[in-house]
Amino acid sequence: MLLRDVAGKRYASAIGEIAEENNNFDYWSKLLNDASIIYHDSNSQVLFHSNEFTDEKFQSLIVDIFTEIDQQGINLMKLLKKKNRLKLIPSINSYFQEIVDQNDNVIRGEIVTAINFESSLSSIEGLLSKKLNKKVILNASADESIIGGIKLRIGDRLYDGTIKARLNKLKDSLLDVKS
Amino acid sequence: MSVRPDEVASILKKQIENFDDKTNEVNVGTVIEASDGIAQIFGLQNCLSSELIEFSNGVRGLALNLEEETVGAIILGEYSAIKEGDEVKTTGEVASVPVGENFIGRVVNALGQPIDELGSISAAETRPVERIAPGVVSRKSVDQPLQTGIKAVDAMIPIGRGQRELIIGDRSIGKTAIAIDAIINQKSEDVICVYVAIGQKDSKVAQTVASLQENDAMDHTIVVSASAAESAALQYLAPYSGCAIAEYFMDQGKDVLIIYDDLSKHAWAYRQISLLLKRPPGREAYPGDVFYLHSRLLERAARVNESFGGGSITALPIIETQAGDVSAYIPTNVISITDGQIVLEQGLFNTGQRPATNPGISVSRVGGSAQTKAMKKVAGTLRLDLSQYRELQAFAQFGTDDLDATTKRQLERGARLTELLKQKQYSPKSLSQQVTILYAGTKGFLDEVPVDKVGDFEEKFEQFMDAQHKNILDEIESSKDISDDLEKKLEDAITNFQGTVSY
Repeated sequence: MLLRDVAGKRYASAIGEIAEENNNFDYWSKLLNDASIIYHDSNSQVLFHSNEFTDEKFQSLIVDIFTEIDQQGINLMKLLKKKNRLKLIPSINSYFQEIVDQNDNVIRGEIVTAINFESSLSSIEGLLSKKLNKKVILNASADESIIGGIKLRIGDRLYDGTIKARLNKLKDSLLDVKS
Repeated sequence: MSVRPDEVASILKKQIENFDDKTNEVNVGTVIEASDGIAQIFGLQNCLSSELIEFSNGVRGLALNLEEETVGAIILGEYSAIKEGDEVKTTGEVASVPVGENFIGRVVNALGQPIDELGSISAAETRPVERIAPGVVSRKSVDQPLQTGIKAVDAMIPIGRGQRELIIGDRSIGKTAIAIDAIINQKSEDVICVYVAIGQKDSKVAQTVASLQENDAMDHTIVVSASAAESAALQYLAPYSGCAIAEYFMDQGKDVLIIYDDLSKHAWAYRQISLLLKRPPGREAYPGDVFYLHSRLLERAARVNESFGGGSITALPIIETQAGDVSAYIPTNVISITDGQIVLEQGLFNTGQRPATNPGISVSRVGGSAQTKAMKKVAGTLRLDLSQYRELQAFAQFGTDDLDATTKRQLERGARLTELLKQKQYSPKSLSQQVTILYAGTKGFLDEVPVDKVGDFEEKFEQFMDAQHKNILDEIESSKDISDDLEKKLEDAITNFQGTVSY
């Protein structure tokens, strides 16, 4: 997700508006997600990177691949092809998922602990959900080097309550001659 | 001083007891790329412009470009250890430097850290490097002279405390020499000096510091150095740091002289940063805000009125020109910002005129009102005589035989006055010394002295006055004026002296 083309943001927000009008976020989310998966598949490169197809051929291919696609979806694909922007698909998908999350009042984050603790993950999620007034979905991972405690990252905010961070802080404060 | 273990333990105990281990929220981002002293960071959503950020290895950076998805930052320190994927956090601080009295006599880098290996410096406070210049209400006009000790400058291009006077000229024709002489002359003047070296060779900085030490001028001087070996980020920051250090003293009501040596290299460093941050290049590839880069720095030189402490910062920025071209981009910018310029010329330097100031195009727009009365009296005729001399000189180049007596006399006088304005490096002259010798020159007492003996005459005259007429010198120093009575005494003294020399 790190490096994504900002141009995708414009397409994503336009799609977001259409989805909101028609109230079909699930449809768009699935379509873009599928398109993104297909885009990354090495067998389908020819579809996105070749200029050989005529518009009719491209449309019939799209309809064959995405069985549930509607006219607006076909229009999006044709527009991207015409503007030579098919390579934006993963970026549009990434931005669109953010819009979907926002619409569903969902916030995603990462949690790091010293030992694996899948069992109590849901209780932490519940606690945070109450606090932030949003549904929180956490992605848990374990890292022994933090010794103990919890490191929580939501969006660009980081809450570092690990033993390692506290030790570093103590070290800094002891080495600080002024205070 | 011996260290007692129980004391150390008690300090540590106190620190541990007061240790604040609360988990706090920080704003983080991730390094996408780091190269050439620049880092692109993904995230850092709530980062502010010019906020300090901290990389995971403790190195700090300065956020300059806030873009849609990323933040462009300059790295203030060693950047080779920063790699893609490193975590970056905001600190909520702006770039600042430690300041205080203890900095006097020291050599520091752009971050205020000592680089002279004389131990750490305990600071009185820290100040943000960028500060808005004093406003209209707190300022007052320049009314006190800042003596540089250089005859050619003090007489014809006078500088007042709080003024910004540009020193401009080609490479190695004595720009720094004027600045150093001005620092040396502040020894007895109670003016604190800050010398900011930007993008210079370390050897040259070492040489400058050594000559300041030799002339006992380090006791009132702080050197801020961002040498050519340091990153462009530090070179960019150095003048602002130097100015912050100077402002500390100004706010205490003291007079400060700050020298930026030189702002062309500062503009280069900023151009490098801007281009690497992908800001659009403009004329000569400088970014659009290169004027503001220098104007906001030089505006911080000011003379504030008594209700704001009454201190001052006098700025002497230096600009290096290429082949005497003062109409290039950066020179014209800085000329328009400053209150005048001292122009040094290669041609004059080569003919042995040192300092090689060109009195024709050098100006001081505000210093005149700060000039002492004594100097004004002698300098008025000096300027007139010299400008007449310059005009006649051009047309007398092919021989002076057919000229009338008045013209000839003017030429002779001009040649001697030009000779009189020559001055050795590291030998600043006091006000009374300058006034007496210039008086002798403008009143025609030197007309009979051969041109090549003028220097000799001046030296002997100085010794004579010091030995025999100390009272005249003292009176000029105290009254800063030449009364009619004093003028008479001075004339007698000069006539007396003429009797003792053979020409």
